[in-house]
Formats: sequence, structure tokens, C-alpha cells
Amino acid sequence: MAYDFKLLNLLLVEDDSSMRALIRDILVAFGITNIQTASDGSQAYAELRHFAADIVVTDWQMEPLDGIDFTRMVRSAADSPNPFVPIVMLTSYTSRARVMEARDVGVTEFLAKPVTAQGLYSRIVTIVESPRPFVRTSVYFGPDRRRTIKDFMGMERRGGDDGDDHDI
Amino acid sequence: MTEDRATEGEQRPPGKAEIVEVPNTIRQKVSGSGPISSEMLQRAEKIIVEHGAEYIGRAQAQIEGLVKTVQAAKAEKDNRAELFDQIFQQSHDIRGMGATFGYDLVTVVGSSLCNFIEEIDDYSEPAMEVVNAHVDALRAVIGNDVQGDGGAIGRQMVFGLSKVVEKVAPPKKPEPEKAEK
Repeated sequence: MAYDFKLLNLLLVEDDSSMRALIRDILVAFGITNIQTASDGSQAYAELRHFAADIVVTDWQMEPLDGIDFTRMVRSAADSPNPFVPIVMLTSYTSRARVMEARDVGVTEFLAKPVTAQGLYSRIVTIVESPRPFVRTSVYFGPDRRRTIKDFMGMERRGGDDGDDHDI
Repeated sequence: MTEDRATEGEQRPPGKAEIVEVPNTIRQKVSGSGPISSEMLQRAEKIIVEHGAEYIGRAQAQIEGLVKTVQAAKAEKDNRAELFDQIFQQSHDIRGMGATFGYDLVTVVGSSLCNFIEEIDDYSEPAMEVVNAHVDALRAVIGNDVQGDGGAIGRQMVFGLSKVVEKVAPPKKPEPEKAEK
């Protein structure tokens, strides 16, 4: 029996309308129907004020506010409506430096494009089953970063996601 | 302006961390367990196929946009840094979609172009030639509706591009991995 996600609220942030429609439809196929969408970080931040998102899935490269600055605001702004919300960063950036940058602003999980159904599903399951404690230091607030960075950086193969290659 | 939560309250000495356990409210809203069901996977794969029907037209439009920017970069030497940034953004979008719809070679070529632009800070003619080679490759792949990795010809194309890139941006030695504290 697979998971039943119908009570989840998910905020999807993606500037490309085709990609946004695709991801939305895949999420609906998973049974997630309470989905709000936004086309950049500032719209998403405003959306969080009245939509109690359980999970945020966001693209990285967007204008005017990209996924990194959006994540930084969610985690660190004094007026953040939901600083603990799990954030999945969806992006074509796969270099180690980029992954570290995402991790250091408080991204919870990282999913490299191209999008696969398996990959998206496994990130959601990880958030459900393995929530991270949060850490506050003098320079960081966000999910505990002490996880192994595994070699996820290659392109995911269609249907070949093992669900264990994405920790950051 | 915003206040940084990392420094809220008393100032912590560097290295001192407060662990905040967050109640798992999400788990309470989700029932069931296990891997993705074959029924769910089939539904999702069907959706990807349906969206993929529009992919070629969309990819052609993306590549046309890329060609225009490359032509502008060729003509406006003084404005190349900004135009290369645009080329990066456009090829980044192109690589993000290809393999999702079974056009893996589009993603590989797009990634090669993105990686190249990230590596360089000299936008002179040799760099333009590398960009042109990638644009020609993308046009050929989409123009001929080449799916998957393109087989032997696709591999040859990727190898050829890597050689073109190497001439302008030789590969760097990998940095040693640093352990996470």
C-alpha cells in the first residue's frame, strides 16, 4: 500500500509554466490535491501567509526572487509565516558548490532535474518519514545539516531513483 | 528589514548549536507506507508522456530564443558578459526539461554548455565557438527528434563537444572532499 497524501498542503514554486503544470499533475497523481502554485519566491512568500503549506517544492532559478533567497527568507526573516516548513529544492544545478549553497540557506532536500516520478515521490516520503531537527547557531538556522552528502549529482535515471541519494 | 533568526535572542558563540526538535505534524496527516505503487507510477508516467507531446515544439522555441541571444553576443562584443549570462539561463532551462521527456541528449548537451559558461570568465571568440558548437548540436538533436542518448552518433557528438570545451576550458583538478562537521 502506498502513502495516502490527500491531507497534505503543498506549495509549488516554479517559474516555467510547462514545468509547473507537469510537476503539479505528477503530485496530483500521487494523491496530493491541496496544491498552491507560485511563479517566483516573492509570490511564494506571500502565499505562505495564508496557505499552511506542509511541504514546499521550489525551483532554484527564478526572477525576481530565486529559490535560494526565498528559502533564506522563509528560514530567517523575522516575519516568516512558516520557518520550519520542509523545502525541496528542484533544480538543474548539480555541482557540489551549488548543493552546499542550497544546504547552507536551509534547504531540506535537493532534487536534481530532470524530474522523475520516483525522485519526487522519494523526497516527499523522506520528509514524511525522516524529518530533521532544526539547528540554530550564530550563523545558521535551518534543518540539521549533518547528513552525508552522497553522490547524487549525476542525472537521475528514469525510474531508477533509489531514494537514498539525495541527502544534503 | 528582516531580523536574522540565526542571531535571535542571545548571541551564541561560534560552534554552539541549539537543537530544535520540530513535531512531525506531516506524519499525522499521512497514512500508509511503502514505495510508490505501480498504479501511482503508471499514472505519473502517463502524465509525463502526455506533457511530453508538446515538448518538441517547446524545445524548438527555447532553442530559437537561444540562437537569438547567441547572435546578439556575436554582434555585441562589449555586452557579452551579460549575454553569456542569458545564454546560461536559457541553456539551463533547456537542460532541465529534455531528459524528463526522454530527450536525454538535450539535457547532456545543455549541461555541457551550462558547465562551460560557469567555468569561463573570458568571452572572446574561442568561447563563442564553443557556444556555437553546442547550439548546433541542440538544433541537430531537436531537428532530428533524437530521443534517449542518441546512440553511437549521440555519444560521438558529446565526445566532440567535450574536446571543443577542453581547448578553451581545460578540466580542473578535483578539490579534495571536506568532511562535514
